[in-house]
Amino acid sequence: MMNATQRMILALAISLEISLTKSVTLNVVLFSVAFLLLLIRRQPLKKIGLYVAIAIIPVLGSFWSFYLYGQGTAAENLHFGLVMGSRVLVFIFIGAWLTMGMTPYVLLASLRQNLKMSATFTYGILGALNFMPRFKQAFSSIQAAGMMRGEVLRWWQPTLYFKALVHAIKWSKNLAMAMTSHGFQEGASRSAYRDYPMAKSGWVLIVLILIALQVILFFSRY
Amino acid sequence: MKQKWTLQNVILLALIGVIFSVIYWIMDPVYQIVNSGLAVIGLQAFTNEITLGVWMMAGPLASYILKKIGAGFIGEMLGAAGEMFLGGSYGVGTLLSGFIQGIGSELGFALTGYKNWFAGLWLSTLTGTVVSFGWDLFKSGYIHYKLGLLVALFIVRYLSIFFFSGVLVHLIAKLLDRSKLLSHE
Repeated sequence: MMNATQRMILALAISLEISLTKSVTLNVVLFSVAFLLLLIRRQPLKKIGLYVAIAIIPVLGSFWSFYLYGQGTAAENLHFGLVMGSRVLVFIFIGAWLTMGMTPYVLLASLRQNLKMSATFTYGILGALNFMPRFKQAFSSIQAAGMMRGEVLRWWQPTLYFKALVHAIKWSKNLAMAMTSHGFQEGASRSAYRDYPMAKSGWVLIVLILIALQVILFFSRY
Repeated sequence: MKQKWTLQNVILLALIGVIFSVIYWIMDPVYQIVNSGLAVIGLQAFTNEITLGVWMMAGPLASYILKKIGAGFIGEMLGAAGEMFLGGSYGVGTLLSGFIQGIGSELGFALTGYKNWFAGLWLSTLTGTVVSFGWDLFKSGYIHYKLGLLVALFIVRYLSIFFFSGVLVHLIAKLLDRSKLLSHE
């Protein structure tokens, strides 16, 4: 079956396909399949509910703006509104399917093994991802420090980004030094703890799914 | 200027991606609010154009600070991938947008042969606008709009990208230069 790299390729192919086509039928089919897969793979209902909650506003927003303010006839506007609304739904649920049970580590390790991404990039990015929670802290302390001097830092001001980048530069130096001191060598050959091969059956599945999409598209009338 | 990516360069690039993935993710609801506000006066077609500059900041900023081939493209992709993992409102669609926007921004720096980064930054605001607009002609159905509206949309998009991914990026980089934290030996 598909590994992380293949899943990403398939997800990108599907999103490219639905970005360039206008079939409500195809979108609804894709959404239903992705939704069912989430249920079959026993994703927590709370998580699925969260995706639905994320989807509501952008789906309705896309639908309304094209339905109410489109340039065509009422029927055309309704169709295009439904296309744009259902497209957002597919994006979110294919995204959910893609990230389901896949950690950034697995994706990066697969990309390294399958697409020959360099170890420096794989482990550099992986190390950097661990700083995600610390940026949240950093942002609030930057704003607090500003408030102490009576400055309110807003998101369109360069100072806020500058201060976040100062942290980033400092952390990147420290982390690079820490990784080097723990034996990480740029360009050195390394063995893998786990293999993430791209199986032939995965490619067959991808081709079958892509063919199925074209068939649905060919027969879909709306 | 050395073209080799050191570990520290990669980590800094990834951290820029992380910072912007959070900003992009925060911007998703902002987009919806702006959109409903503009829809009241019938100008919701402009929401995307007004806000797009913010979503394109990671690429030019990464290129302009790191001064490396590919930094813009990878930076934008990382920002987009992070937004998806955080659970952004456009799911896997953001990866595709990040891909297109990354190519658009990178093109500007490429056109200068990666020699003049200042000119590259301004060129990248233009190429970013052209490439992302070309994509939206097909993807978002802009091709159905009348010519007058298209021209207006293009100008507004250019101004947004020019401000956020040009002026703001330049100001951020200037502050960094003055701080002497980044030494390009």
